[in-house]
Amino acid sequence: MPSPAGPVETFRRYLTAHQIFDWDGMRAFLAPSARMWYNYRTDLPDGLAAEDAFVEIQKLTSVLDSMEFMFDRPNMETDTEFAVQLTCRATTKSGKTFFVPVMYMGRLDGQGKIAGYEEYLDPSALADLFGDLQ
Amino acid sequence: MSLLQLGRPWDTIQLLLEALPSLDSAKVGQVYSDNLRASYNFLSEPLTKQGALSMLEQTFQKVVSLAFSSIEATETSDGFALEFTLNVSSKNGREIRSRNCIVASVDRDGKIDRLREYLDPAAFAALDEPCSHLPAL
Repeated sequence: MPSPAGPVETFRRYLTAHQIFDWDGMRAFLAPSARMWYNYRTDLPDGLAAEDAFVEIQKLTSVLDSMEFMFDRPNMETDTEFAVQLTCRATTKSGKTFFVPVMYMGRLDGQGKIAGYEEYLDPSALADLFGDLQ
Repeated sequence: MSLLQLGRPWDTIQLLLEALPSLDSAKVGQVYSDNLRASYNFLSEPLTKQGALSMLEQTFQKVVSLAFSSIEATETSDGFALEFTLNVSSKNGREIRSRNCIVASVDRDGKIDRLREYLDPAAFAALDEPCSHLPAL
């Protein structure tokens, strides 16, 4: 059964939980078998299971003071698929702010949960973030 | 009637996927509207049609062959979203594989008038590396 909220809105709600670091809130939108794939992780051609991805995301966001997803580009959906484009603005705890264009292509399962998505970005835009992780 | 005149996103995708491996920027230009605005996640400002084709031409000059694989296309209300793996053999002897994503809108003539491409430009840095055919001096 398609999600009553629709694919784009479901994913936006997932990202809303993401930007306030509400991990349980994010999990509520994910299918148990959800997988995430990242274009800059060529060492992970099959992506990551959700809980493994969360470990990575939590590590990356541990150096952030705040993060905001700005839906400043058109988003598209079919009955079960979504294409969400946005700009992520994030400020690190050390005070550096960066803006990263991000594209998500994903899909919902029959229960309206996020079955998986692919994330596309230019990781060089995250150099400050990676620098703070070291 | 040409495929372009049909104005259908699927035909536009097909033409784009045929034009890029030809390494002929003029052929790619036939798929782009004169009003094209093309944004790339590694550039801060969008490019015009001329700018986008110029960037492609510079890339083509470094490439022997270019092919697509694992193509996944989704029709949208005004165009398409396309995920694909780009397989490039470069003149300096490198093999490049990059999974990319394009979101495009298509005008009434079937030409792309808005394009946003997302990729990891680090994958293409190999295009500018020294030629691997030559022995090290």
